[in-house]
Amino acid sequence: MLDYIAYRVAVLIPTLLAVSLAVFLVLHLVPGDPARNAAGPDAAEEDIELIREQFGLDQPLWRQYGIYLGNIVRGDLGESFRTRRPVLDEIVRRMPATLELAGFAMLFAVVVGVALGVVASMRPNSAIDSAVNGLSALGISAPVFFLGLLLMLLFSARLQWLPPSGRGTMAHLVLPTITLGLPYVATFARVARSTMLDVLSEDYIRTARAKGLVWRRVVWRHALINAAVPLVTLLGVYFGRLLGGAVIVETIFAWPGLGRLMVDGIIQRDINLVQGCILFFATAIVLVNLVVDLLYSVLDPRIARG
Amino acid sequence: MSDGAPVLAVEGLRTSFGAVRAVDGVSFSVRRGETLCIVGESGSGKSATALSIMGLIPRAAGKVVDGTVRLAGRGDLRRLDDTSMAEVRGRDIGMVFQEPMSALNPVFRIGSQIGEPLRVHRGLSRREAHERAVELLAMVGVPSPAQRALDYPHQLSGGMRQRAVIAMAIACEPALILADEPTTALDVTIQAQILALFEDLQDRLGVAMVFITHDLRVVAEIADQVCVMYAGVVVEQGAARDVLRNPLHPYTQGLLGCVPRAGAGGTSRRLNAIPGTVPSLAALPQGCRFRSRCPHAFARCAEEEPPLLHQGGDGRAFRCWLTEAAA
Repeated sequence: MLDYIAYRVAVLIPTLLAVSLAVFLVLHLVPGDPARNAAGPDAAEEDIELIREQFGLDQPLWRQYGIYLGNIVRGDLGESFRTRRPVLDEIVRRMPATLELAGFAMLFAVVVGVALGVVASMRPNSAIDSAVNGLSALGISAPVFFLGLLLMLLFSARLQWLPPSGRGTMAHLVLPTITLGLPYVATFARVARSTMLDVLSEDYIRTARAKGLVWRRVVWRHALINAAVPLVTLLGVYFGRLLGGAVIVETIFAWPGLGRLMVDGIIQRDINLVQGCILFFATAIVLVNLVVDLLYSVLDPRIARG
Repeated sequence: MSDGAPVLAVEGLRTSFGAVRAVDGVSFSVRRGETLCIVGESGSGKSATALSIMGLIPRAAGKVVDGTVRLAGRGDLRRLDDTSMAEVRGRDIGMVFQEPMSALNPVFRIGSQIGEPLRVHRGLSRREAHERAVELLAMVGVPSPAQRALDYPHQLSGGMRQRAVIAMAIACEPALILADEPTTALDVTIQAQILALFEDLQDRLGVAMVFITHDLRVVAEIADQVCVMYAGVVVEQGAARDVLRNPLHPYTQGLLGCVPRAGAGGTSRRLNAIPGTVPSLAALPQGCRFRSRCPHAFARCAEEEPPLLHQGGDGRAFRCWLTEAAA
């Protein structure tokens, strides 16, 4: 098991290298001059040139990438063009807000989604099943920005139950969490339902009933654990998309997280900042998927370790 | 061995899957210490009969539409609500299935699966149930039961898995064991061991047993009573000895002709196959259901379905016009 973890962590390095290269190239090849942006609209040519030199933007691209990589290895993600503060500090400062939002949204999606899916699967084609189906269709098709504004309009503007923006209390967390998590509630509900229906037709479910277990216990104990592997897989896949969604949700609800930091960075053409954010997101996604893979062998004893 | 009132008495059982009448009026009973074999080809309704008794016909697929299933001390099981029926399953009736691999939950340890009925029905703690599971594994002849109890199903061989399933079925000392082709998926040598285990357990526990099989050699080995099923109905039933020695229904005769026999002067005897296949239950022919495959069919067989004709007082019965005419 330890060997396997070490192997998997080693494999992360080329993955992250590829990500860093891709991000670096994209950001340096898009039109626009980051130095000019950083200097401001009225800056003199000399000042712009100075900034260009200062950030190494006058060097050949391959050399810039080499320097960049060397710095990353030392834990230095460079300085923000705009604030002149280390990018790593900016990320660390904003990270808790994003992790909080993404974590709660994922929790919301998994708990509510799986519960709805399981309940639907217990009585296929019943009224409950149809209701869950309808809701998930709605959840999947509603765009995040639309859903967010709608919720804000209803619960903040009309009913005045919840704050429309900002971060601080648990109440601030409610609307962003729902907005970010709802599409994934729908997805988890659908997958949980279909996986559970497959599992419930297995022979061992009949055995469990023949032992005298009531249907509830059969479903929640014997079936759900067997349905867990595909659901956990989904968790890995959707964590990345959820972080992508966080960028939008943070912007809608003025949530002071990494997503907004990155959006601001993109607008300002703050290359170092954007690179750092994307690298952070990529690392988070890759790590979550590693944890997911390790979870398989915990959940299903048939999957060999190592 | 067989005495007193029947442990299980099934009367006029009918189970439909939509328009398909998979079980079409089946009656039999089995006493304490007695083994009843239900024999028939695939599609004859024998597994549907077992699932009907257990109340485990999938709701979406079909349902028991008529008849009574009386279990000693519990009355007619068909009248019980879901909760009471769940109490009967595993406690009063233990069930053993055909495929020991798929019958066990892959993600739970063997011991916890065997102990589960004890926890549910007897209120045993996790630890007590585990200790009892180890004893049960020893009882069904699993070597090093303490280690095996901690294994997962995929770590056991087919024969050991089936022993584990049997241990699970007998955990609460049920009055009745319902075994649905428990040896079919196993190697021949393992089959013999499992059959011997069933016989041994029956001697020790005195349970009544309903044993479903398509293998007449199994019937010859363990049955006291036998029911021969064809296309959803019983075509012949009675004491196993009588039915095997003197089959009265052409289908039973055909089945017996299919069994290879070594020695006993029968070495040169050719194996007979029954021509044709079981008719579709959705479109049964008029008259006798076996007519199209019967070598002796005559005019009356096409007109009228023969009723179950009783012969003597020992429960011998058959469903054939020909034998009636000859009798």
